[in-house]
Amino acid sequence: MNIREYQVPFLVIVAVLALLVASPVLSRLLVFPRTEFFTELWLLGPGHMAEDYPYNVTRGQNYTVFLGVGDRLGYCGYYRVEVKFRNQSQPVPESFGPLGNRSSSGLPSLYSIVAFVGDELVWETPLTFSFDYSYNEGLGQVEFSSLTLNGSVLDLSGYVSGWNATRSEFYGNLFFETWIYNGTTQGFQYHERFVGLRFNMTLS
Amino acid sequence: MRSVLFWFAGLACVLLVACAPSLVHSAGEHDAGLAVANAESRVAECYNFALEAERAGANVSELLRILNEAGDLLSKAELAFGVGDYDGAGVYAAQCEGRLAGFEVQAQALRDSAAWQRQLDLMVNVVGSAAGTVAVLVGGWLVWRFLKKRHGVAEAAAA
Repeated sequence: MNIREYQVPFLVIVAVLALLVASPVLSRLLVFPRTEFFTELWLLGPGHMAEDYPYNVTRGQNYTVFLGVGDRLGYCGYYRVEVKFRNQSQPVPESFGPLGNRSSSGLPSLYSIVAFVGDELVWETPLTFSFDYSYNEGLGQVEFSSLTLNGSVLDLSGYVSGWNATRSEFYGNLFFETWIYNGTTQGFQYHERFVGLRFNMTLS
Repeated sequence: MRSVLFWFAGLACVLLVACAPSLVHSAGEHDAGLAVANAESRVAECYNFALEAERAGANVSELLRILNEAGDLLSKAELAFGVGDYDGAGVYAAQCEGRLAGFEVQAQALRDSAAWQRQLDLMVNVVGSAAGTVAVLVGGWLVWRFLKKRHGVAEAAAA
């Protein structure tokens, strides 16, 4: 028997054993680093699907949607979702252009939803809302009084919406902007993401 | 002279009665504003504790649950303050701070525990694994040398 004939099988066995023992340390070294860090923001309809969003809104009627935030920043985020409402002529947040250059709507926030979301986790909350408004026949416009959001009454006095003949609607836009806490400045900065719902305020 | 003093005192009393509600209102607004600002600072401070614990490798889901509850109360406090309900704002702000009582201790305990686990994990999995690999390679080489030597001696004896 020549021992050299067994050299290759012996080397293979030792190499396999060494790889097995080294697997814990290799699993730490051979990890692809995360390169994309971002936040997701979404609105789902009443059936928890991206469909059946309310459009024709009736005064005093309750509607439910789901607002969600997904954190992929590599750390837990401290978010504020600012609830805002606008008519057709009021400013909308910028949705075009590269991230870093988009600005928020200058409209005042009606309500601030606070959310802490862990890394690689999602946070979701149901939003039940209704509008109180009246129709001013003389001016031909809808005049808003309040928005009730999850039981909190938010003042909408001064908000009006004129008739849009092209689209045959009294336009209303409820939108949600994300702001994120910046530990360096110890303040919130616009996170350049927003979602919204477009309504036709019906008179029935 | 006495009648002049009497009239001045009377005028002062009327002014005091007229201004009292707005003075009370202003004090209430100031106190509520301070309470809301304190609650905001406290929430941000606790978020930083949670962030530190997370960086140490701790599971911070329980801390985030507490923060979300406190955040909900903070939102309510801010809304109440915005509509001039200063009593309500003060109550919600106090509830928010109350919800965060002991948060720092809990976060630090989680952080320390995670740091210890991390060290242990490093020792067992990284140092242990690296040392084991070296041992397997050196052991294999020694065994091969021994077998080769033994085989050489046997061959020489046979010859």
